[in-house]
Amino acid sequence: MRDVEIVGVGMTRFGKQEDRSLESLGRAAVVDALNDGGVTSNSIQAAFVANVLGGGQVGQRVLFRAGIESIPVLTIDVACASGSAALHEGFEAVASGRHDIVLVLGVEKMSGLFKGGINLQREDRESRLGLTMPGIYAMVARRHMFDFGTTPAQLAAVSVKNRRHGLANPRAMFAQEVSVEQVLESPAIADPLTMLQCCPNADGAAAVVLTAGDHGRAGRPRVRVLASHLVSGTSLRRQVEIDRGDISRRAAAGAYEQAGVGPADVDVAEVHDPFTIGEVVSTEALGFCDAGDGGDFAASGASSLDGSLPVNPSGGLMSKGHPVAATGVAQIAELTWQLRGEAEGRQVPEARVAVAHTVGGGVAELDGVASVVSILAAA
Amino acid sequence: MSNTADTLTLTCSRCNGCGEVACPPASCALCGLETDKVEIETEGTLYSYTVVHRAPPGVAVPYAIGYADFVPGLRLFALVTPIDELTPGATVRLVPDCDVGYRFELIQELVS
Repeated sequence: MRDVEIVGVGMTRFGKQEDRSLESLGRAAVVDALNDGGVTSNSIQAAFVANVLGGGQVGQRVLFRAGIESIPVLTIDVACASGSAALHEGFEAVASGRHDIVLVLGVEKMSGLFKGGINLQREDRESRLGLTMPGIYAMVARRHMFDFGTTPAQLAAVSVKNRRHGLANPRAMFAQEVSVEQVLESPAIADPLTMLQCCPNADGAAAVVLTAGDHGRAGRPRVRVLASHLVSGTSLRRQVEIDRGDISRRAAAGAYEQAGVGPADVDVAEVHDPFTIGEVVSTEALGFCDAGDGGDFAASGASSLDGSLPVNPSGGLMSKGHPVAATGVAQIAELTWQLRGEAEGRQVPEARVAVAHTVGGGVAELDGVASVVSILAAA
Repeated sequence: MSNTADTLTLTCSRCNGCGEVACPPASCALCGLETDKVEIETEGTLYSYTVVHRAPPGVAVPYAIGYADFVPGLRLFALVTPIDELTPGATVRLVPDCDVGYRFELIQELVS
């Protein structure tokens, strides 16, 4: 396996952008990433494009507008983990020697698609019965509270922290602090989750250029991808514990082994937080704290920007919004800025090792669609 | 699926090879071996639940949904009634529901 480096990253603002097309958002992120890396569009040898809701062929639809034609272009969908899966495929393509320079893009246009929350597959019996995306996470939260004594205030602490972090991110949808009381008193969505514990839908795109070795701009801090591990979910009918993050645990174990590092080596992480309980369970699954301690990990300040292991310095999905397939690539952009020392206003001091994590869900009978954990390091 | 009075008996399949339980009955999706038909117990344990307050347009709220575990080793998903006083670990009964086949009904503890 060859060393893989991130030489360029780009990201649009996330949020409601009803006046912009999917193609326009995607193109902007690609141009941004190419410019950042000093790379021309005709040097890209393959592209992996994440999209869930755009109606098909999104890779080709977007990329020819950025001057990228004729090369292999694949569009990837594993729900909320799509962007991370595209990064995973790009990493594998370069590490294995198949390509020397590839583009990874995540793009989503959600405005106008849904009334309320994201619809699940309508053919499933579970969604006809009234299972919603917040409902899935709410049942995880309820069980976590039962098994470990996690409190609503601890859940709310995740939202408070990530909204605070987002104040320093100019690409985030929200720039407003909230208090624990405001979070808990916001309208009930799916008990125990309230509105301010759910991330908003958003439009946006993010892109990354990966290369074998150093093709980046001279003199700039270099960032390597040490590992990227992807797994799919398993059936819930076997009575698995839904509050242990098994799917994320398996992705993390594979990534740590591939990278040759462990949780204790991690300086900063972007962790999937579509709902507060998501970050709680996933910080446990990533080994940042013991099983059951995820609520306290957030409420104690350990995962705050000035804590022992800052989680979601970008503001996470709570602040940025969640353009489903763009999310995983945007995490990589944030962590690249962190490792280069370019995360103005939200920089984690001397960050050397970074973890990116997403988990896609929405198929009622599975504990998840897919989870990806990727590990980056300052080279 | 058979139906006597207000309790429902569900028939599932259990694989002779790996023990995988499936409902409705089917040949084993994991190892492809033959399966035996087994009836699952009509009383199970509520694993988790949520009371939903925001639903897709046209669906009346609030309502409760949940997962419940049944012997011999199967987790089912359904609406749960009544929506008050639910807790993980509570005993529920499978009852017929004309729209969707079945739902979980909380068995109220008798307070003496």
